[in-house]
Amino acid sequence: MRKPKCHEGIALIEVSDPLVLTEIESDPQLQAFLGDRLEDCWVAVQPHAVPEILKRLKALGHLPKVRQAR
Amino acid sequence: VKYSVVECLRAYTDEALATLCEHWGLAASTKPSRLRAVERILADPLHVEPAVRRLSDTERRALNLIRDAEKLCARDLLAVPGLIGGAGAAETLYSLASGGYVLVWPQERAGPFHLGQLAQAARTTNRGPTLVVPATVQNVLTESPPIRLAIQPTTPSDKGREPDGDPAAVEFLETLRLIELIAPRVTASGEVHKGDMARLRDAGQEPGLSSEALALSILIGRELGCVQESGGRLVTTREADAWAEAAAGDRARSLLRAYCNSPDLAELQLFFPEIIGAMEEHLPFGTLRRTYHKQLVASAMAGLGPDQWYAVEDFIDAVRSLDPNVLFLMEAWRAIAANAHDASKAWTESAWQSHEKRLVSWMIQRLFARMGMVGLSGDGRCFRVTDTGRYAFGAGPLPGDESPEASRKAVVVQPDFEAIVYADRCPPSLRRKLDRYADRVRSGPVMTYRLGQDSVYRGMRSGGNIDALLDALERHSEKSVPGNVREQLSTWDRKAGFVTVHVGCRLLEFVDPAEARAFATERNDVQRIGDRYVLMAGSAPELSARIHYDRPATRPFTQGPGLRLCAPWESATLFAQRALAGLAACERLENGDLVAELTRDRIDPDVEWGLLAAQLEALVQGPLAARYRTALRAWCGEPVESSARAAMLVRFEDPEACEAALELPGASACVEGRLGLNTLVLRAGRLAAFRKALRGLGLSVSRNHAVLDDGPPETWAIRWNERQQSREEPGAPDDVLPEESAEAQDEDIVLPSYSPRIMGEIIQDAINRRRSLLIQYQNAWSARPGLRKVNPVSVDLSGPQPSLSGHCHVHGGARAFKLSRITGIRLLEDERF
Repeated sequence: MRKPKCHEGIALIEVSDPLVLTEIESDPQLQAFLGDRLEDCWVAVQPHAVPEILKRLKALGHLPKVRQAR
Repeated sequence: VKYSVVECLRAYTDEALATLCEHWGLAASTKPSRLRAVERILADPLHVEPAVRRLSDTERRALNLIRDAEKLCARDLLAVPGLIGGAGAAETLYSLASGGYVLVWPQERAGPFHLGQLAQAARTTNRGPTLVVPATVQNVLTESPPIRLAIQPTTPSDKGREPDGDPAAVEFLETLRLIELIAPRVTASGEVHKGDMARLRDAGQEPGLSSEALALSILIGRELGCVQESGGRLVTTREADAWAEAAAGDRARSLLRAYCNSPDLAELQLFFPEIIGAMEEHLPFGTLRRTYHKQLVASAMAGLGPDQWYAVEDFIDAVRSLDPNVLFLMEAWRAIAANAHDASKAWTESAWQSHEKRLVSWMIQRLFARMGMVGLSGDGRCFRVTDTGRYAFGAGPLPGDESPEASRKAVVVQPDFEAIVYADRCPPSLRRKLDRYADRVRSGPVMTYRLGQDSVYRGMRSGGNIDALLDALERHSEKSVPGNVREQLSTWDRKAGFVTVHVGCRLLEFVDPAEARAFATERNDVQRIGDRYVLMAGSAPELSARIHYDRPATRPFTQGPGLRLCAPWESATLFAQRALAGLAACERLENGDLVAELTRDRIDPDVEWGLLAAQLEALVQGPLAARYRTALRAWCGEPVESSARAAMLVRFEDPEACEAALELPGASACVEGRLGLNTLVLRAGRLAAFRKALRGLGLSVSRNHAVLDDGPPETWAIRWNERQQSREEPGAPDDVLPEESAEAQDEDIVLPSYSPRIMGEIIQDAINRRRSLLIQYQNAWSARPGLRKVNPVSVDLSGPQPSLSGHCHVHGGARAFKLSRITGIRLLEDERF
């Protein structure tokens, strides 16, 4: 079996409700930045697109919190 | 450093200790015994408490001043006799020190302390001994008794109206709102930037905020901690909300204390403009003298009786009697600074009338009246201290707050999310909340606010919560908040906590979910996400690969047999699968590799095949093989026809001879096409004419049965390219020409990447709106992509190699860029061309 691999410096979106993630995934502007869905409430996003993602999330009526990983 | 009582006493002379013993009636004859005896007395509350109770009012005021300052220089205390109660400050201090109620800290290189030094402190320029109050005295010391002024109550002809509302609180709240709105810049010296101050003044005109009140409110806000500098700008803090929530008396008291304690000399600038420089010099920072003129008036106010009217003039005379030198009127330097010929009695009187008197009048009639601490008679010549004022000045109990019923009708919330607020009934706590959570549409006696998602989120970002807003609206509204407004606010509140973006994460991906589970169980500092992922903070275990997302993206897929693509476990990123969406279905193998097969049913036939090819090319390593391009082209409806017929081939041993034949007019007319480097296809029945034409070059054509194949393109394509490059015209696509590696310095910048299809839309948008683009371009000769700024002119999406044409700022000329090689793009909204 292969050893694990590390995704270094990745950005993730966490939502409290899977429906919100479905809404995010169906937004054409956000789709371009999304990666694999890791779980019902987690999705990978392009780290370099975080400013654009935050802007779009605010435009969609969310109040995203940004948390820097420890 | 803090010294104990005995350490302080050790620095006293024997005579000083003898004086202390005499005060307490202690029979000790030697220095050690005196020291022990005094120490024991000062440590015993049973002796100290009754003695402190017997102290005079002036002594208790002096003790309070020293206690509040923690430690105070003798000269500093003697410079503010008015705060002690008038003349005799030196005697008061001597009396306190000779009883041990005030101790002197040991000073280096100063020799033993004798009580005579206290009297000298007033006459010398140094700061004198440092005074402290022993802990036992502090514990039994009560508040300062108010200063009794020699002033008689009066009866005004017109008692005027009761103080109307709380104008100072409203002005303070307005200032906080404007600071939040404008976020003024702060200069290196801590002052508000002149341009932004002008903007604040302009913005303050609409709600009727004077520039004087604005400056004063900023000063008080800073002193209170409601306003502070952050990132070079002035911002409000949570203290501002706490202040607005406090009772009216506490609000007034904190405003007064902040004003009195502020070292800013704004009011002196106003009333002593010609000598403000000299004033600054003689009012050093960190001393009681700096704020003496404010503290003195506030202390004098505390001594006035309740519910009694006083003439402003009489009060000013009483202040003068406490200390005529409060602003150095008796000092020679002031007369010199004011260009007076001599400090005669007439000049002193005139200076007092024109400066000090006006200052104290302003404090009573403008400042304290607007803070609701004094009520003025109709003509403004008499005043009385209100209950709020008595509490704020420290002379009375906390008055009862405004009744809840009074503010019950302060606001009406309408179903269209507008809140109508009656300013006279609106308590500061509600006003502050509305300023934070809503946009003010109209100011005045009846204000209008609009609750919108942006404004509500702005309020939430500054640390508030919706429940508190709803609660305040319910409390101050006669009718309950409309259901739709309540529901929408709750929805915004819920939505606010929905999304969190984690940046700079370290995510481990396991092939086997069981391994991920076991790893997450072992470690405390990790969070398991889904079956195979673990979010971690510490050091990673042994890894098979590390994918860095802060570097330019690599191409994860290799080209497999047929139309298969494969992304090995080590290089498969979290974006590989989604990037192929629309082209192929991905499947994860047991070993973790990703495989995908291009299928016709996934392809949208309405999309230009070139765009799809570019999308694929951006994901695969090496040039995209012809089979993929051809399949995409055919599936998108582009005709890819083939036909068969017999043809005559002529093969040259040398490619140059082949090209020479093509350059002969007679020979080239017989040629149908070229196969590879060395072979030409002749038109039917033109062999004889071709031979004849070649004869002119001295070439002959022999017929044989040898294989006339030039071999696979790999064997001759490099030579072909070299020959073609030497003929290339300028202005060809950018990656055709080798170029300088100007991009080396831009390696650290990474831009968001998109599929060529979306990129095409972004470029088209930039062209339409004449905006520049920043692109990350991977040309054929560089190991890493470089950064280019481009003014886009056109985008060609229909050709086999979709490309962007425009003016490249790096090269200063027209260039073309293949979309498949653009690894990142950002539209520069601020740069038009």
